[in-house]
Amino acid sequence: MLPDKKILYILMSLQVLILSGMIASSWYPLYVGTEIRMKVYPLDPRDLLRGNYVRLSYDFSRLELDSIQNHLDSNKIYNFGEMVFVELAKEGDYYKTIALWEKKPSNTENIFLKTSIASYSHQYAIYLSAGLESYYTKSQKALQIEKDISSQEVYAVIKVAPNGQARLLRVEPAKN
Amino acid sequence: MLAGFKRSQAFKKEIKVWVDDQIITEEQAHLLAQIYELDKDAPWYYQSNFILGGVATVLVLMGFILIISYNWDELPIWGRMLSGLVPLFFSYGMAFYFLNRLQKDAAELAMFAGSVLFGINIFLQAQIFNLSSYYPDGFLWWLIGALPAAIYLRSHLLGVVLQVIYLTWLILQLQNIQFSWLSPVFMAGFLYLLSKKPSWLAVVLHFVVIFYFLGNISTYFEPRPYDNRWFDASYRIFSLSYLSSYGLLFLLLLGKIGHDYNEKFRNRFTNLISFGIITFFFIYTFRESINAWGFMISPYIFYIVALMILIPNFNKIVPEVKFSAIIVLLILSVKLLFYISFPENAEGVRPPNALDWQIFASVLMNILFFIFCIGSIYIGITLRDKGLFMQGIFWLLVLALARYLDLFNDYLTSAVIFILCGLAIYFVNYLWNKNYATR
Repeated sequence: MLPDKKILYILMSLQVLILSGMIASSWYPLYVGTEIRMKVYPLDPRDLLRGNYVRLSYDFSRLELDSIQNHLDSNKIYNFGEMVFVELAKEGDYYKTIALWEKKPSNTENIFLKTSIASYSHQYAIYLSAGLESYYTKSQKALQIEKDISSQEVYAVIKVAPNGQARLLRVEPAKN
Repeated sequence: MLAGFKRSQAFKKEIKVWVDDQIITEEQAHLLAQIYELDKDAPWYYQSNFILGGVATVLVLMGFILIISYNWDELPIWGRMLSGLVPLFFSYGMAFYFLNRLQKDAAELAMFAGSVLFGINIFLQAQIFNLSSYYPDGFLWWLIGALPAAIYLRSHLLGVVLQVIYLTWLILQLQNIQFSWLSPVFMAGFLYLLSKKPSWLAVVLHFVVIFYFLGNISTYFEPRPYDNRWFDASYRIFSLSYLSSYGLLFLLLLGKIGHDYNEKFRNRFTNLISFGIITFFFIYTFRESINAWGFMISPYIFYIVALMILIPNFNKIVPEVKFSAIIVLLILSVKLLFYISFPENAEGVRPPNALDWQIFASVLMNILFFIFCIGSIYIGITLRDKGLFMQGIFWLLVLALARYLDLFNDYLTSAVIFILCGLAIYFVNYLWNKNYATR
């Protein structure tokens, strides 16, 4: 029996819809976001599915809970994948993490990054991921970035949308 | 050997048209196909041009991919996106093109390519936008998008590919101590595909997948790091017991839907699962196993499945399933007996390492296993099922050998047990000869 064309259309549409959603949500911060710069601490691995990339670490990647304003509920157990917001403040040309929130406060003009919890310890530290930790590039360029890091500070240029969603634009050496 | 001739395929199509136009009958078409050997596959050397053509196409495509890769950083975002999306939409287009020409297999193949390219696009777009957020989501979306296509098209090839994707997703979930309710939904999808489209490769793969699926379910009940599980004795037992119960369930399913499968494969697979379940039982006749692993079988699902199989309506489906279910119930009954006999101590812990507990457990398990062997032989004789009969003999010898090595230092006990076992087998042999050997 031949497959029904209508059903085939639906099956294809489902796949296209998923890809469109993925592309649209990736593009959203690039389109509406505010451009900021943050200091990064790279390391160069390889991803079998996605090729060469520089793995980046930010000042919010591992936060000592007593080193910032911590607005998380101290009685609550936070699990892997739960969303929390990181508040950023400008210091010179670059942004730094100043506070941690469970929900994004509405009465502030600061920039907030939506992050997910990778690991959490009540007393000491929290590990966060904002989806900005991988910068894909050619292996030669990845090596060049590694070299740059050993000799100078490197920054990530990021676009942050009003809802906290962010996309990494590029990685570049600090401006002298 | 005309099947390989260039025009033979056209002739085959022409015959089909004649039948459709009622110029000739089905029988005449069949006769023509036989005379001209159109029903036979062309020998491999006639197909070599197809193989060479395929290899050449792959090489050229690889070359193009390398050119794109070389210029990747210089390409604008839309250019990079199109490098993945164009082949995807081309596959979709080809699926419809072949469908319009009534070429079902080619249309399905194009849709298969489309579903694989769909997954590749997910990872490509992730790379283009530097996405690093929760990694297994890529596999999850791939499954959501492609599994319905595999089920609808009854594509076991795509089903196998997606089972590998599903397996990867499960392993990543386990590493992150996560469980998703979509996991059993996908599992049901794969099972449905297996029931509709027989594929031994998919069935074998399914049993690898199920091990991780069960581990994934265990994460829901007991979240703990995955890496520890392989070194955690209780988890191995947990997995084994669930794997066995799933084996039972699968046998039941095979009994119901297995008519689509090759009988040889069905029999071998049934025997393999039964063998696994009995081995699991046999392991518990060793005191060392009870000492090392405890008796921590999670019995709930196991029990439900075993009882389900023993419900009268299901009894007639597969005798081996029923028999395996009895074994499962035996193991679990002992477990429950222990549970009642050895209450928790003051620290709230049951004494699995107490010597008296181990001795009691191992003796009881040996008795039960012996009963099982004799039962297997007896049922084999009653049902005149040589497989069950030989199974009982085999396991009885294995048990005897194991205990022989165990009891080697205690000659008298060993001697008495072996003599009794020998007499029991002699009696069974007598029974067999009396009832059937002369018939």
